[in-house]
Amino acid sequence: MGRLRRVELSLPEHNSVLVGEDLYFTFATNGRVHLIASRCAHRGGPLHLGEVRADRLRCPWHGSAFKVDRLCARAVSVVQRGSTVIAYVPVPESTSDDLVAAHTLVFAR
Amino acid sequence: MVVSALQYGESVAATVAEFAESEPYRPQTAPFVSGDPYRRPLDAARLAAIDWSRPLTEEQFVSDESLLASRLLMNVYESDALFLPRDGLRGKERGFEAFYSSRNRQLADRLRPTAEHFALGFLDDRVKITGSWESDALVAHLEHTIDETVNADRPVLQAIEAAPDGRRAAGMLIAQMALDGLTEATAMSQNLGGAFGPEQSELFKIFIDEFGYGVFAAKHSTLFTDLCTSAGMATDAHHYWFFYLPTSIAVNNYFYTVTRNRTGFFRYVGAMALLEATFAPYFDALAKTLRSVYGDTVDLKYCDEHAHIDQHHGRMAVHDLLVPLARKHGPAAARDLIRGVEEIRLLGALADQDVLAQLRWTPSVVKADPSPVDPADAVELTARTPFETRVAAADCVVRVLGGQAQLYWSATGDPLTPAAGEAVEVPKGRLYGIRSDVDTAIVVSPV
Repeated sequence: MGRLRRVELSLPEHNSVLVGEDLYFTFATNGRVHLIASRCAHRGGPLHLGEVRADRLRCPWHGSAFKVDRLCARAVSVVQRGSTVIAYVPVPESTSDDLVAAHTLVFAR
Repeated sequence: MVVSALQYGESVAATVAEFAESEPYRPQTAPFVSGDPYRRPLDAARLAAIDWSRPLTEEQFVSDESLLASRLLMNVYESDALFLPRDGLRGKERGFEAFYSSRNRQLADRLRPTAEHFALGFLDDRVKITGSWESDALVAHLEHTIDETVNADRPVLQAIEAAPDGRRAAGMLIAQMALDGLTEATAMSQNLGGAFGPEQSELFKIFIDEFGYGVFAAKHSTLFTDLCTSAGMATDAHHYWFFYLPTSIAVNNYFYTVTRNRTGFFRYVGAMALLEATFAPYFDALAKTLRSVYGDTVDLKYCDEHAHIDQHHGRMAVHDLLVPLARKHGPAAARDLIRGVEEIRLLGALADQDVLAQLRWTPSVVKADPSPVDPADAVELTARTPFETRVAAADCVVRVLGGQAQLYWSATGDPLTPAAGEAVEVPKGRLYGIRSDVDTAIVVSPV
């Protein structure tokens, strides 16, 4: 069983959330910020390093492609208040709160 | 068919002009509206200057355009609700017919979507909800937001308690509350019809409390009337029409916007749930503030009722209405529920800032700068000049060139009376109105 943890990101400083070893990354479309799990459903590749082509996000490892709309619909619950993004990320019971944090990454795109 | 911006603008402007120039909305010389629920003056000339194709931004929310558009929208919405004069319709039949005329209803329906988008469209840019919202995330966010709101400072109440003229300050807040207080739960009533399952009955439970279980003396709007009377304030609907701040009207309009548009239902429930869940401690604090200002004579049943019943309404609105709706109606509904929470949170914060700035403004009469004035800039006032209030677009000075003016800036208390050679400074964003009983000339110039 998991629980939810509230995390506040300050844009543009933060663009990701770390939950233990799991990574979630921000993805903006039409002015709206989504927070998407970076782990590819195929072999766990880093989707945050993928490229968007024809409305699909391609995993850089094996080229698995996912419709952006679907990724966004399944994304983390997010409220955007100006440059502040409030996210409710799922956290396993075994992960302590101090391993959950807003984070900054260099994206390839 | 492509409609050009010009055609669109002309069409909207013509509709607004015809509506604003109709009988109920014509100007008047008095600064207060007494005894006639159909009198709601609109300034057709200032409305004509609005470009309806360019919605307000958050930065323009406190502005003259916002005031005008919000007044217009309020008349649109309230001409869909029934008002009858307290002393009977005799002598006001013509106003009754005009206010509810088929032509005005047609015009209201035509201009409403544009006016709504103009006045509140900035919410689409400022409030964004994404992702998959299950009920656990929804409740977590709502509880956090309730906690933030309940535990926040109350600078408006502190400002009233610290004001040099506490009655004037409290009166200004009560006047803003009258927007909703005298017609309480009218927007809510728009969602009582139709058929939407057990949640419809849950909403009705809240509604019947608002209506005092059919006992007029216990109806919340009656309790509010009692508060006004005990504070020495008028109880006619919209007596303080000219002294509603743009943000106060907009907050009230928001609830009409999301109830009049049926797809706004989930936003309405989110917004209503946040307010109901935060009202009890707010009204408890308000009661203490009003007691400190007015003493033992003020009737606080209205505050006491909210401080009690909204403990229940908060729980009912969240757990019996909002959460079941989210579970039943899926992610799009859940996002809109949270959107309503966020929208009213933002609107409430902006309205608090606006009323706080108005309360902290204590204008005074000073000696005017004697430099010459271009006669073309002078404005002539007589006892027959229509009264209006406006929001200052920039810091400015109202200078009296001849005669004597009356400058109003609050719902209660005497106006300032600068005479020839005197002036009053008005900060940007502040609401004020000027009239005169004698032939007077003024000039308003930027600081």
